[in-house]
Amino acid sequence: MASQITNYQCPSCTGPLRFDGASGKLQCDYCGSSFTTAEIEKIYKDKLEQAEQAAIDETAAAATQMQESDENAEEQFWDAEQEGMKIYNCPSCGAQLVFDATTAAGSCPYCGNPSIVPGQFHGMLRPDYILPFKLSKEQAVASLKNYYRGKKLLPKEFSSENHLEEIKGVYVPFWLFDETAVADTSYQATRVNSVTHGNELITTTEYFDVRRAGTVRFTRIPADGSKKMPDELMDSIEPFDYSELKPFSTAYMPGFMADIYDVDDRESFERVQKRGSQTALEIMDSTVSGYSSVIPKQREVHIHRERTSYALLPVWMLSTRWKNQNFIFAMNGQTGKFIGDLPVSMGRYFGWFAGIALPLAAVLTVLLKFM
Amino acid sequence: MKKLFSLTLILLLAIMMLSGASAMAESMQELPYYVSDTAGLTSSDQWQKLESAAESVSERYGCGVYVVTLQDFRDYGSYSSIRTFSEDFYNRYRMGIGQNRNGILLVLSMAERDYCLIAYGSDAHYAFTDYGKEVLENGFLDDFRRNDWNAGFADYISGCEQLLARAAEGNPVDVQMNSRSVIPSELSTGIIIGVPLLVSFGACEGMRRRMKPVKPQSRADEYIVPGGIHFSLKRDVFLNRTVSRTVIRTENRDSSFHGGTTVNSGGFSGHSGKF
Repeated sequence: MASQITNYQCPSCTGPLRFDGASGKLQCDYCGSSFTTAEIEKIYKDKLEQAEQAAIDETAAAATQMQESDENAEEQFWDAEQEGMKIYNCPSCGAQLVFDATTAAGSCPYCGNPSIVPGQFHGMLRPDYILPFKLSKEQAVASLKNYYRGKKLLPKEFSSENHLEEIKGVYVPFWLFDETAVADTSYQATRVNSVTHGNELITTTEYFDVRRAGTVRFTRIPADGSKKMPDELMDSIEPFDYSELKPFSTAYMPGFMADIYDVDDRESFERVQKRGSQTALEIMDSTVSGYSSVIPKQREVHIHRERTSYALLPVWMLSTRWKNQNFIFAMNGQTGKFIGDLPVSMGRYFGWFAGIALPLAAVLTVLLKFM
Repeated sequence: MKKLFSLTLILLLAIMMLSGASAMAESMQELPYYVSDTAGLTSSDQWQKLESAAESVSERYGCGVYVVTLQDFRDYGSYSSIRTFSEDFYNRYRMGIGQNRNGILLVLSMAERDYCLIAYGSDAHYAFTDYGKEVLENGFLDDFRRNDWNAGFADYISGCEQLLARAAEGNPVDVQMNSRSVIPSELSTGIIIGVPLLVSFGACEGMRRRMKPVKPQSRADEYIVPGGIHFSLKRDVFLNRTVSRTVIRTENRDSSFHGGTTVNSGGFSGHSGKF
């Protein structure tokens, strides 16, 4: 069990390493050494392979045990794994770690050392790419405070009374879809021209049959593959700069959480398909111009799915609590785009309403009086 | 008194009718009264009060305020319209006060319910702008349409007094001075209440939306491959054409004023219509 999990230790002092987004290197907070991901991957290649193999062996053994009917008490204890949890031993302090079944990287709650479960990434579960974190935890906290500024309807007590429950950097599993939309649309359009001749208004209406057909190619439309992550929140922190995508390596993970997907590509594609269809149709519509009226008659679009990639993208998740209500915020760990819903003070809402309406009514009264 | 006047005017008009325009042009007599009710629309008492009021206003502002009522203006010559009759009448009887013969004349012809309102003289044109005459008419036409003649004449005389008073202050009633009255009070109230409510609602909803920015993406424009949009068909086919003709209905009067007073070649301003 213990062999499934590993951590990156400093080659100089054996202290835990963590990935630093700003420098793009793995750093040791104990001795100050830093290493490139390539250096660490080379050193830990054998260890990672062993951990991955151990995970495969454990999975096979568990499957065999499932087939046996004489379950003992210990096996019943390990049924927890079937309920979505997995149990590991921390390679640093030996404490028992209970991780979510989809967790691929985390930290030990006892010693705080980053832990990685390489076995989570074997086979189909291995991502194609990883986009390393560029922004730090401190920057995420600063962004949250900055996010409150200028929000005129935010309850006065919210920013002072609410407290940060949790902040974690998570590599969120995303599916990146390439697709081509084939659209075929037709419209009934009219062009109206009116001229005055003598005391007559002569209106000429010309009718047109308009048709547009074509293709729109998309690349790497993202859709998160994690049930834990609210889809709207993940959509809202787009876009990511894919030029900085790296081939997948667990060396970027120390210090961050990571999940494997639990929403498969087929299910995720449904959302992406809608976005592609809507965009293609609106592109077709936008070329029908110069008419007085345009009525769509036929709007067909077919999406051809092409290449699909699997990537881990960096997201800072922040959770605050105020008046027994949780507020979740997300920050793009690469671009810093910060988003989250905030509470609305109805007192402030109506205060602003009156504050705008009453002076405006007074000004209009004076203006109309002197007009 | 009124009967005496009516007889006098009828006699004058009869001469005008019998002897023709040229003969009347030579007579150049002056009307003895400001209110000449030959159609008999007012009682003696009413006429007396109206005459007194018209005389008072006329003398105070040096601008004659006249009323003439007739059974039918066509009885007095081959006039093409009540306007030509009224202008001719004003000149023949040397109406108006002062060297410029400033005055305003309201003529009612009862046969076909025609009316004409004309002004003459530079001071009268200054006081009775096109827009001012419109305001004046709005004051008395409603009364005439209800056959309330005395009230109509009284409104006419008091309206003339107000316009002359404004002109005397150097502030004649004109479009720019009265744009306020173009907006009905109900509309003003609606604007004062409705506009602030709409603006406030729009602004507050904008602020509220800023508090709830999390929403699913519905488009994917950022992920379109450069040069990835290709049209295989772009066709606009003309089908047919229809032509409709609508007669533009215009009001008898152009109610859009641009300020000032429009004076014709005869030196008159004003217009005519039905009541």
